[in-house]
Amino acid sequence: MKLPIQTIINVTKRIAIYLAAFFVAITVNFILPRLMPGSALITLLSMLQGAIGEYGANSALVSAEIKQIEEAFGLTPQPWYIQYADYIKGIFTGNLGASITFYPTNVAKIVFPSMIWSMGLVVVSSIVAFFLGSWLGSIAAIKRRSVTDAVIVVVISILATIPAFVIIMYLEMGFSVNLKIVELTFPNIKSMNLKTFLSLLNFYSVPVAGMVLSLLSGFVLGMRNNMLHTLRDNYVYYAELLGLSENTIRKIVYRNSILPNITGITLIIGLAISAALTVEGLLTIPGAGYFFGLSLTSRDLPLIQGYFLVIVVLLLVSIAIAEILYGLLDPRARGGAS
Amino acid sequence: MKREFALSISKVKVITKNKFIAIGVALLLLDIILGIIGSIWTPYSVNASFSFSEPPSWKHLLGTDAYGHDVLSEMLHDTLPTLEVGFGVGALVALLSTIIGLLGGYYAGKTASIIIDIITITVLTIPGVILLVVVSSYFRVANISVSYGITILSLSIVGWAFGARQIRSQVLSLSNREYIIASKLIGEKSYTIIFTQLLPPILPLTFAQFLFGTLYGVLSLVTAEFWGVLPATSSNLGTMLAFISTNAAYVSNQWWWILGAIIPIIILGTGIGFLNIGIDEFVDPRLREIKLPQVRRIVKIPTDNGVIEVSI
Repeated sequence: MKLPIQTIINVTKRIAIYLAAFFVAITVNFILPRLMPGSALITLLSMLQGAIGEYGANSALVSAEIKQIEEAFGLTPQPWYIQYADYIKGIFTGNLGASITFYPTNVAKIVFPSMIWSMGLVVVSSIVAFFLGSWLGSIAAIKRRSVTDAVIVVVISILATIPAFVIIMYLEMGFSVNLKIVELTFPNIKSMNLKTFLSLLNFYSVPVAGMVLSLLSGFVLGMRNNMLHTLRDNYVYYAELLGLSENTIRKIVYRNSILPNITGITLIIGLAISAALTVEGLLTIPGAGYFFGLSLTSRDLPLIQGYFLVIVVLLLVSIAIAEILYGLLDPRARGGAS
Repeated sequence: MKREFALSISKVKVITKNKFIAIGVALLLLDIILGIIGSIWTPYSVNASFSFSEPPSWKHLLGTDAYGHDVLSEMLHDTLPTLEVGFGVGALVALLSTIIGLLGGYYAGKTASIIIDIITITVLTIPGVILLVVVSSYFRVANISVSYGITILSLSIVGWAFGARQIRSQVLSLSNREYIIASKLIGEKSYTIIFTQLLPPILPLTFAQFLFGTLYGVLSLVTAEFWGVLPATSSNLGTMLAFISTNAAYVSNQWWWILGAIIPIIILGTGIGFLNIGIDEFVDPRLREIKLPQVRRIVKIPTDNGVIEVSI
């Protein structure tokens, strides 16, 4: 009866650590954007006037105007503790205020619909990359130090170094500009029917392919490095002595080596917004990456904070899931106390 | 002392005999040399203007961009700053993740390790690009060297967490080995155990952190430049890619312009790929190829039918 109590203590400890990390993270996210000099209204005004940031901000006329508008919008700086209390309250009630660049739209109304596109893109690409990458990695491992191994690892490393959006540029150049079989721009969605769905599929084929290619490396190297160690285990020698074919052995060891890749896929999904940042920026997909990039360049404080919150929650949840999965799938890690 | 020396000699031999490590190092050196050449000399001045968007020719090996600049000159000129950021971030990430991973693993279960755990998880959630945006907005008017130093620092401060988790779990399993427990029992000081007994076995992991930190640095720089959130004080491959995307060079088929911006990155990636194959031998000595000297001996064995010779 000792084990369950120990497990409960361990689990509560982990939950406490995650809660603490959550509060530290949202506090950091409260402080960071407030450290940024310049305000969103300056950017907005200079955008309206067609002036460039610094120039617009420095003129006395503009700053007087800004003060007026700030008062009108209820944005006049308040003491930090009142701002912080409002911020915490907003997080738990889901009311994060109105975006400045998209005034008067509520932040939540921009953040959540945009998440669908980014999550869709990253989840689909990472699942494809998971299976393709694990398979390639297992082949590289079983044929270690052969030409096949070197080709797989080097090609994968090159694909990992080229930013995803550059891979997509070349794919778009080939498939949509020259061959004209893929749409270059995000389809106009008014209502969801079969036609818009098909054009969405058509449009997304290139960004998904590009993301898969750039995500492959982690899965290939993860599988390869882990399998190299497993291949030295005694049961593999036994399988070899039994005369099992190379492919059969590969399949057996594959299943025993997949664990790090399962952790990998949850973390990649947790980092979805960062991954989509440039891809959606390039193709102007109205997803979280695109709007987050916009909010950073325009210093739209409420919107930045909204995305910060989603990034933090998404990543904490994915780390927790990775940890739980590890415990469930690896009998050696089961039971906690190690 | 003598034995230790012999051991290090054999390690050096493993490194120099390893083809993969040799090719990897050669490629990284090639990239650095390209960068150094570019910072001293380029075929044309970076600001010289020629006819716009010309495909590659003997006059312009990588063609010209939409502004009429020679792409090869731009590439050479922009390589060194990009590599600086990459290697700088790589080195700092390796250092930070090793120290934090060692401490977190060695003091596992104590208050210190819980604090380290919370900090690690928090840092994991902050994307490097965001800190870069915040910090760099202070340095809008700063000069080039300051701005790259700040870039490296900001990216490293939030980039070490993944590596630290990896190293921590490795240290955790090492800490339960007999030789560490024995050292604790005879009263060795903690820092002696950490730096002389736990550090050496995880050094290959530290090196892996350097490689991945370098990639992370280059990719984050490119992302930040893509959104134009860094003060544009100097050009690097990221600014080059940003111009490419604002000009939608892929819609007008200017493949050479994009290629110019990624050739140094491709060389870097290939080098890292080869190094990655090479270092797995250090992570697991069982993978090392051992060639035993094959000496054949003739043994004479007396039997009922006289002496027969058997070669072993």
